[in-house]
Amino acid sequence: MTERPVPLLRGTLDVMILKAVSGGSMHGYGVSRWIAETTDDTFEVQEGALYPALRRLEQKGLLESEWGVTETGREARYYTLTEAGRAGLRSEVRMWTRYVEAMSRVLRAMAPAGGGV
Amino acid sequence: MDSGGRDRVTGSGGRRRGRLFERPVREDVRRELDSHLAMKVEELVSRGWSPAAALSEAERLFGDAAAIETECSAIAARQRRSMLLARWFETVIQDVRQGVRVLGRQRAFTVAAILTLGLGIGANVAVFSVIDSLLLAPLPYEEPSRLVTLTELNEQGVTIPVAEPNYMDWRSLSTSFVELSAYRGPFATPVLGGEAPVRRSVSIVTGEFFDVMRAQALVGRIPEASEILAGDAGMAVVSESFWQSVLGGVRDLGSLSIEMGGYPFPVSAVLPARFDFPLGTDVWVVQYPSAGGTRTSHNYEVVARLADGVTLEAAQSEMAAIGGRLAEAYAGSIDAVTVGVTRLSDALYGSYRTPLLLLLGASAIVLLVACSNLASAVLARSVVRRREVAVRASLGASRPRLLRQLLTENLLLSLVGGAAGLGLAFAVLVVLRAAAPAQVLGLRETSLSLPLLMFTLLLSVVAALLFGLAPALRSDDRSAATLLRGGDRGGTGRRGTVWSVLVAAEVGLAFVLLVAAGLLIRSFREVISVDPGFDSNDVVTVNLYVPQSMYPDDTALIGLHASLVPALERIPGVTRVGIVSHLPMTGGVNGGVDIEGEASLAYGEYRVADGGYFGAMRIPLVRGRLFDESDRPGATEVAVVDAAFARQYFGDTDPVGRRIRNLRNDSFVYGTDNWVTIIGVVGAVRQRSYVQDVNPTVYVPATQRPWRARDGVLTLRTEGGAGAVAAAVRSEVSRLAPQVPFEIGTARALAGRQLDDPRFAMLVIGGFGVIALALAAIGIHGVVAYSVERRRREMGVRIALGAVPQGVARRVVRDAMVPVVAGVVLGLGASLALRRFVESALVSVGPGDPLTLAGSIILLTGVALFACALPAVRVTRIDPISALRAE
Repeated sequence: MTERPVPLLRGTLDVMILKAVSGGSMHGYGVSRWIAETTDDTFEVQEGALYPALRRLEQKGLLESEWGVTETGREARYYTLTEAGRAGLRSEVRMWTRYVEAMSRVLRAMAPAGGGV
Repeated sequence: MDSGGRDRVTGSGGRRRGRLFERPVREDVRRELDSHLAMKVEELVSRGWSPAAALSEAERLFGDAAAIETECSAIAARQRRSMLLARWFETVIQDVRQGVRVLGRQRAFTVAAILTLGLGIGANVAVFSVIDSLLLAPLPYEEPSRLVTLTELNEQGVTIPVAEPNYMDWRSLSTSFVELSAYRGPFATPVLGGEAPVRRSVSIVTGEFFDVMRAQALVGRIPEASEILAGDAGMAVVSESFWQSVLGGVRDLGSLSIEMGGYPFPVSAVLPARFDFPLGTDVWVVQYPSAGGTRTSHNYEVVARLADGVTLEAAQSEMAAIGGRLAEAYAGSIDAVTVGVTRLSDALYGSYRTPLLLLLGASAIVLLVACSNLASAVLARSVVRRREVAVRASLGASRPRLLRQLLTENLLLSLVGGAAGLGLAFAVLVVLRAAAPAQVLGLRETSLSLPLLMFTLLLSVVAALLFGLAPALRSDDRSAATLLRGGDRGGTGRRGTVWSVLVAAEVGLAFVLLVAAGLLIRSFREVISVDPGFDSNDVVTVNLYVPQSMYPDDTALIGLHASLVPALERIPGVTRVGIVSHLPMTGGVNGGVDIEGEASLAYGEYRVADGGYFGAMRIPLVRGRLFDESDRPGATEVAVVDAAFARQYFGDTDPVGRRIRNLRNDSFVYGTDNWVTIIGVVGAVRQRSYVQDVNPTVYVPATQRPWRARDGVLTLRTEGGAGAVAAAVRSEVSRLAPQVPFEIGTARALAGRQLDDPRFAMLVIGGFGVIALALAAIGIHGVVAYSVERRRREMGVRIALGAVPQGVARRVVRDAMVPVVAGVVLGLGASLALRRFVESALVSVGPGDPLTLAGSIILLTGVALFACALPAVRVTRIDPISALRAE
């Protein structure tokens, strides 16, 4: 929590949402809290920005939603992963894993000796 | 923003799908965002924030709520739209599947319905396609709406062709046109220079013609108006088909030259096939106008292109003024009083408008009968299906949903019927093109055009609505519960009324068509029962088109005739051969005749013939003698008149030995004005028309006026008709006159061509009438059969109670005939109201012809009775016991 939050890379929000609801249906506020907790508030993201992303994923058929009631008796919209969403998440996870591994190898590697041309 | 307390969901416990769709999108989004803020505030408060500070912190963390709300709403709205569409589509597919299943189960009904619709729609599509190609499609020339024809009108207001000096004045005086052109033709003309001598349609046009039409050459170059010089024979432009068939499609036009009327013409251009004006022209001879005609010799047609911005009306008023000025300036030597300007498309096809619209009316009636027929069948079916419908209603299908299901079934039927109709229409058109000579209907190539497809689709939808209407109306009057209880026993009530109206409508419509068909048949019979004064049966004809260059003078022509006639007469099966300038009913010339000793001018048809012609056509000799070998050139000039001429101008006195002269057309050609002695009288012949009066006729011998029989017709009386002798005739003519194009035909066909129009109208309207009658009969039969089936039990009870079965059956028939009689009365009224539409097509039969009306009433009533009686007979076989047990 001491470091400044980093800006979110394009597309990462979608993966995080899919991952968040992969354990069971969740409302938007729940998703935002899960992301903040899981990432230790690493990302600089306005909470409101979550909602267009949720709607877009729903439109693409990756999520389903329905109204429900929270444990505190408040109404909220619950999002659930569809079959297509589950498949989407799997391929996103594979892609991101490779991306992150490759990036960290690059970052850890010794820089080649200067010179060349 | 107080989001905690408001917006509580009523009945929120149910996480039911579908709730989602009952709330406006924006409202839904706002609730979601509010719920987020509320939870955030809750969390912050629980961590010790004051409610006010918590709210503003929550809003800060959230970002621009308004923008997010808008964005989310847009996405959600898009999603909802596509979901609704998908759902709608899904139900349509469901409906279609269900419809196919239902229709498939009732195969007999489905097939009958498709056939009925196919007939009704097909008839309309066939007629419409002709209307489309003749009246709706634009002419295939650049800016066709600016093309007009100019004609002269005489004092009686009759349209006459244009005299050449007048045309020249129009050109110099008018400002309404970009360009004007005069033309004549097409004329059947022998053309040499191709692979064989042929006879083709040739039109003579002025140099501006192709400018006016904006024609583009397919091959070669269209000559400029300035290249056409006075005194030259001119140049030839040929049609694509002529170029292909006669000139062998040679692309190097420079090597080609054709010969007509003894003059050679270089071929300068080939026009594409779509260029067809004047209609049917094969060769256009581009010529400088033959200066020097009088203002009363009307030889030309004129076509012109309106200048930009000039309306038809403006051109009309300018030309009327010019015509008036010319009539004044040349008073005494001019006979036209004014000038008419008509759009080219109207001039070409305007005369088809009324008959085609009549046909469309007739085919529309057929479709209406088909629809009423189907409506009653669908109605009967809907009663049978009421349990199924009621079950579905109680399972939650709404009324609109059920109606939609019914409509889908109807549309399915109708569209398949429409497709069948389209196929049928094309089959019919192929037959029509074969049956109707092109000049009768002007049938062009008809193809699947977009307007035609749209028309078919429109008809199918309208038909579906029409025949679907009756049951749809009815399904409003009973609730599902009543239907489920079942037990609709009577064939009466509201359904009975709808049926009666449908039957009456069918019968009335069919009656109108039957009357029209009957009138046309009667009229046609009148025409063909007329004795024309000749017998064309078994007469083979050879039309000769003798080229001037091969047979330049009288001697050559006499030689040709003298070699052909006896040679043909020697062919076995040929009994008598003659020649005539024009066969009856195929045109000809006429004019004034002076009779020696009489002051007043006689008037007659003028024909050139030989003695054999009268024998071949079985025109009897009444008095005197026919032409023979003694009537040589240079001998006493003679003539034969017909009985009509004799009666009209000589009364009871004997014309033989009297003299006539100044056979006007004759002196024009020969420049002679000798007295001609009448040597015989033959039977009167209808030369012009089967329906008009007999035309007094003067015949002169081919040996003394061979020039007038140049393009004459050889007439061969045969024993077995054309088939037996055609080959021999063909080889003899080719052998004796190798350079002469000719056509072999039959006198019956040539003289009968005039009957094609009325015969065609009679066949088509008659065909429609028969279809309508059959459909009406099927409809009546269906209604009665159904009501007998429904009322089995009631009838069984009556019979069990002692009613005579025959009496019950009679009652069924009597009940069923009430709407039939009402329909006949309606039809009678409609026929009388519509009579002026058929009047123009009738000859010697009035549109109110009592015999036709009576015949139609008897025929229709008889057929209806039969249609009722068939199912009614079943009543007599009802076994009361089993009928009572049945339910």
